[in-house]
Amino acid sequence: MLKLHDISAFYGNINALSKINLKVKKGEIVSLLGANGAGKSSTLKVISGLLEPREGDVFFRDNKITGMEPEIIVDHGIIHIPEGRQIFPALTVEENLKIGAYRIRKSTDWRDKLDNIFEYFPALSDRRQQKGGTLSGGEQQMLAIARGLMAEPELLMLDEPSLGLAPLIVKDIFKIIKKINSEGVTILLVEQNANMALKVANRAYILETGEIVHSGNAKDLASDEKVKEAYLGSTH
Amino acid sequence: MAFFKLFNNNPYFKYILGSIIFVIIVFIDLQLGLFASRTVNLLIRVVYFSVVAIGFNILLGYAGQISLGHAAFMGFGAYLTAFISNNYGLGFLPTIILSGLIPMVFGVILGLVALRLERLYLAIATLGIGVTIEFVFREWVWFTNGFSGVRLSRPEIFGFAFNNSRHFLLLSTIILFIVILFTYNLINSKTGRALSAMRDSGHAAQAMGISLFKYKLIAFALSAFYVGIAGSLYAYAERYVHPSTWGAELSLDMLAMVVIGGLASIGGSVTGAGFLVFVPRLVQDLPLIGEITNINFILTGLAMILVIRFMPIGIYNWFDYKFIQPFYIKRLNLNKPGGDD
Ligand SMILES: Nc1ncnc2c1ncn2[C@@H]1O[C@H](COP(=O)(O)OP(=O)(O)OP(=O)(O)O)[C@@H](O)[C@H]1O
Ligand SMILES: [Mg+2]
Repeated sequence: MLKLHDISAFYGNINALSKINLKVKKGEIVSLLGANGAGKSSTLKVISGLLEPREGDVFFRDNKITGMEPEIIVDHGIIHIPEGRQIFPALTVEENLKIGAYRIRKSTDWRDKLDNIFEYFPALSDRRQQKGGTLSGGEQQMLAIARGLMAEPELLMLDEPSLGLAPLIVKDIFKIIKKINSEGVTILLVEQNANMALKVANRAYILETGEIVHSGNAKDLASDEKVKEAYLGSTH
Repeated sequence: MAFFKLFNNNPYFKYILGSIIFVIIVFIDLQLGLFASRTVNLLIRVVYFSVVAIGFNILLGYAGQISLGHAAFMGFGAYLTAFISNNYGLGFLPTIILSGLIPMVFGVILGLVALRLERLYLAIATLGIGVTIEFVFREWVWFTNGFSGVRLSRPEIFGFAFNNSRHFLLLSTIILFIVILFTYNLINSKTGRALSAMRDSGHAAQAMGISLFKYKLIAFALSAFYVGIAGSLYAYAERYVHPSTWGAELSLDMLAMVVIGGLASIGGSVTGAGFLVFVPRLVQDLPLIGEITNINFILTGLAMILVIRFMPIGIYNWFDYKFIQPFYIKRLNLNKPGGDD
């Protein structure tokens, strides 16, 4: 479904990604792991069009989408939930969600869709009129994911959804991610929390300073000694 | 009861009712002469500055873009009105619309500049444009008549001349009414939400498929249109347009109106315009303080500092939040306060 071919990207002279090759098949959950500054977010930015790669190509369902404007890429069905819960703080929960459906032309059934979304996120349903900025961290993350779902993505890319959340909430978030996936949305998940990410994912890639150093089946990676040592902590 | 509820659930009614009351008062004034003619002139200023503040608020409050050169658009609108009505004798409506549309084209150009510059740099660049434009207006003699300024006469609609200030107040109030309702619908539409999304988080907005290119241009174009229209009202009201009016002080006054009244709020825009027109006048009549030269600049600056320090949401929103919302909640036992725009 998604294919990155020899992607290299730069911020000025800083080389953020070098010759990344990556594939996501339809229906999969794929995790992208790595230390701070490894280039995980940059990879997602390249896919969603926020960062133009210097070399290489991105293919989505056999279309070359390299260098397209972000809004066109959204039309292709790729939705990126940026890191740091970038919800719109001054807008209400409902308005935030409406923005999610911004690109969807037929506005007839968006109310149904809202109800649908609130089923996933009951906590948000009681807070429809509350300003996004006044939600708790966990609620904001839920809102960010919910907003992404409003766009009816085929590929949903989440950047560190568990960042800064209590373990119980993290569990909820991962449950929701699994549920979304089971309803047919393909998922590319960036995470620091490698344990959790490898548990939900089918496959995973591990980035180190802009290069992919390991890749494979999530289960295999979870039991790989080198990976364990570097990313999962010795207590695993 | 049902009446209050309607109000609380849909702020739209608040604006319709507020506008209608305003128009009715002005209409009664027309019949009975309620206000002193000095007050009528001040009210006209409040009306056209309200249009300015609403336009500027779309840019700053809703879209999160700064401009310190918007006085140029107002001046341009005013000169266009004088030029069109003096040379082509067009009526009020086509003149005021052209005086909005032509600055709007220049608004788009400024928007293109804004695509390359952000925040502080944008503020500096637009301030530069604002300072330069004063000279342009001075030198562009065939259009502006240079230092002598241009005169024009009061507008006419279908042969009816609005010669009397009271008549003109009614006319401009109706324009403000239309502007308010249009703006209310705009900010609650998809476009309005996209503007706010761009302000809150450019990256997230882009990731949701919102084109920053498109909405920056829309924000600058719309605000230039509003400010141009206000300039047209200014020209008709004062019947004289002079180049020194359109300097940086006016642009800073626009900023002050929006900050003092309330960012991202229509009611706040009108409040801010009222504040900037009335407060200096009231103070001028005071003994001692009123004699200080440039007292209005000092007052505006002081008011901005106080508002930012003590009620950063602006006077209007603060009042709404402190008194009006609690009133609704108490009266109706609502646990869900209705939001303002
Ligand atoms: N806007 C930017 N300008 C300059 N350099 C940047 C920018 N964004 C990222 N970088 C650099 O690119 C490299 C990769 O950053 P990226 O954000 O992709 O890392 P990451 O894997 O997402 O890290 P984290 O886990 O901390 O979020 C880093 O060295 C970072 O300093
Ligand atoms: Mg990152």
